Order: sequence, then C-alpha cells, then structure tokens
Amino acid sequence: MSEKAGTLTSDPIAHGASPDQLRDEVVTGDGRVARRERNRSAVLDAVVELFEAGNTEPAVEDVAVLSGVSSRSIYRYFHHRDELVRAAMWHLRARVEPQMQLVDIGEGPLDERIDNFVAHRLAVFAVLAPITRAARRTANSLDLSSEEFGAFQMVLRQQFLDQFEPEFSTLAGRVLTRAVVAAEIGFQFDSLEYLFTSFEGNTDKMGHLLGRQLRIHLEVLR
Amino acid sequence: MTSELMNPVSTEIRTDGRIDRRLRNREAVLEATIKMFIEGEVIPAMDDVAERAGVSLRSVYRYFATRDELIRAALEQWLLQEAPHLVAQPPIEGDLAERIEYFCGQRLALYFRFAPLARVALVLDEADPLVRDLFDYGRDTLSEQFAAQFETELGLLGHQDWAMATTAATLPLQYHLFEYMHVGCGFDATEMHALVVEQLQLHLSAL
Repeated sequence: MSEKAGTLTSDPIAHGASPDQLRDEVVTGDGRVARRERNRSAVLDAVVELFEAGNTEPAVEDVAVLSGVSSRSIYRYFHHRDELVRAAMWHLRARVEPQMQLVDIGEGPLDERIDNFVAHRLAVFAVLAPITRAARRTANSLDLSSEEFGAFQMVLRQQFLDQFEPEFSTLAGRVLTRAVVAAEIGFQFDSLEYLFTSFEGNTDKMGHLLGRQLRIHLEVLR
Repeated sequence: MTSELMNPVSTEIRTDGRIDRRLRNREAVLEATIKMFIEGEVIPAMDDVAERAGVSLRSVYRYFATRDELIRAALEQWLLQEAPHLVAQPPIEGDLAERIEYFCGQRLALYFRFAPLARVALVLDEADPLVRDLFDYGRDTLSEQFAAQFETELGLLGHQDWAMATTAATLPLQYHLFEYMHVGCGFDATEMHALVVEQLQLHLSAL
C-alpha cells in the first residue's frame, strides 16, 4: 500500500482537475504558463505511453527521459504519483474522446446494432485497458472515489441505452434497471478483462461471446 | 519474524515464557485485525488494531514492520480459517430448473461469505501471489462445479463450444459482477438471485 497522497494544493494546473481553469491560465498569454502547459502535456503523453507499454508503475526518471522534461519539473507539476495518474486519465480521456463516439447510434436492425456495439466496445477497451489497470492499482491505495471512472461509465451506460433504445423502450423502473444490468454484464471492465484472459487476448472470440450474450438478452425483450 | 517464532511446536519456544507471550500477542493482533476486516474496515489503522488487541502500538510494529505486512498476515490467517467453506459442493440431481436454483444459491452464499475477505485482498494488491491464488482458485472451482452440475447440458458440445458456453454462462457468477450488482447497483440477495437464475436459464436453454 503506498502512502496516502499529501494534502492537495490549490494550484489547478498541477492537479489537472479542471480543464476549464487550465484553458483560462493559458489564454492569459503568459509565456511561462504556455511552456508549462506544453511540458505538462508532454509528461502526460509519456505516462500514457508507459502505461500502454505495460509499465503500471513508471518511475519519474523514465517519464523524464521519454518526455524530455526534467525530473525536477515533473515533481513541480505533480507532487505525487497518484496525481500524475489522475491527470494522465483526464489527458487520455480528452485524447480518446473522438473514439468514444458510437456512430449511427440506435439506427439499423438489431443484429447490426449489436455487431457495431460489440466492435466499438472492444475498440474502447483496447484503448482504455492499460490506463484503467494502472489507475486501479493507484485507486486501491488512494481514495480515488472514481470521478474519473464515474465519468466514463456514465457515457458508456448512456451509449448502451441509446443504442438499444427500441428494445428497452417498453420497460421502466426496477425492471428496466435489471434488464440493463443483465444485458450489459459482459461489458463491465472486469468482465472484459476476464474474457481477455480466458481467451488469451483473442478479440474474435471475445466479440463472438459478447455478441451472442447480448443477442440472447435483447431478443427476450422483443 | 524468524521462522522459529512462526513455529509454535518448537521446543525452544515452549521453554521461553517471553516468546510464549509474544506469540499470544501476535495472535491477538491478527485476530483483532480479522475482526475489523469483518466489520468492513478494509485498511485498519495500526493504533486501532493495537487498542482492539490490547497491546501497545510499539508491539504491533515489532510483530509487523508495516501495515501491509500486518494486513497480509491477517488475510492469510483468515483465509486458512475460512478455507473449509471454499471446498466445492457435490452436484445435485434434479431437472434443469432445480439445478440452476441450487447452483445460484450456492454461489451467492459463497459470495456473501467471502466478499469481505475479497475486498481486503483487492486492497492489498491484485498482483500479490496470495491474492492471485485466491481469485484463481475461486474461478477454477466455479468452472469445475459448473461443468459437473450441468454435464447433461454441456456434454454434447465440442471442446470449442464447451469453452465458449462455460465462459459465457459463468461470467455473471464471477465475484466482480456480484460486487457490481450488490455494491454498484444496490441489488439485494433476492434480486441478485433472480438475476443470475435468469442468466443461467437463458444460457443453458440456448444450448
């Protein structure tokens, strides 16, 4: 168990908690702020890259080498590793925002919507899995009450509802909740991880199982 | 902690009163930690543990250099105590509906018994061998029990289809999904039971 993060300072840039505040700082035209923002961005890119390479606990020195920003500066921007992971999650989120979109949502026959949905979720999983694994390890020791996870989950849940709106439209209340939870079971992060391990990373098999499972659930509703 | 201290039957230890006391205290610290786990305290504070165990904070640190070490030792002890309940139940006879009911009931009982332990284990570290073994064991017994209980339905399938069907049908019975339903979605035992029964019915009757 790593130590709890120290008291957070009020510096919005160092904590990356608010993208809006960040933008305000940058548009003031202060050169130092702009450089700092560039460096910060390079650091976060490097963290994401290391996570993606399977290094869930990158050393600050590695991040420094990869980003070209000195260790000293990194420590100035991020006081604790947990802050770095948190900021990297926001950073990645902004970067993958376009890939998160599900095109033609809710349109087409059921079979087509199922296939599109499964393919999309597998693609999102491939992008988000490395950082999610890393963040979870941090979240275990830090009381990361999952603002970051929560935001993602809301978007993904809504997508699911929109994609299968015709099937769920006749349900309401507790019955709806139960049907949605049941149908969505395979797409929980842990489920995808489990399937990934069970099928040794074979995405075709994962897709086949997920498609079949979703079809079974949605056809019952018709 | 030296290996002699871990081994209470050694004659050297029995002759030394101080070591006896040390072992008793160490035991008390572990028991107090387990009690706190059961009460939902996933990362108990060292001074709370000391108070509960009736020993000084200094002693706690003498037995366990770090909180991680304490949590790990307590988890291990707890696991040993609970191990008999992890042993797989033999399959029952009956029609498909009866077997599904029984199987889901078994799995849920197991979940409610082991969830506090699993939560502690996951806080420790997913990569810890002890934690990994625990979850691997849980998954393996789930697959084995499932295969034994639903042999009639699964027996006709080829290897590929068998693996696919087993993975699909046992997915909703995984620890993380029970946790998701119970903690994440606020379902109670009855709702969870209804949901997993329905899942198994869908999967097994689709074969």
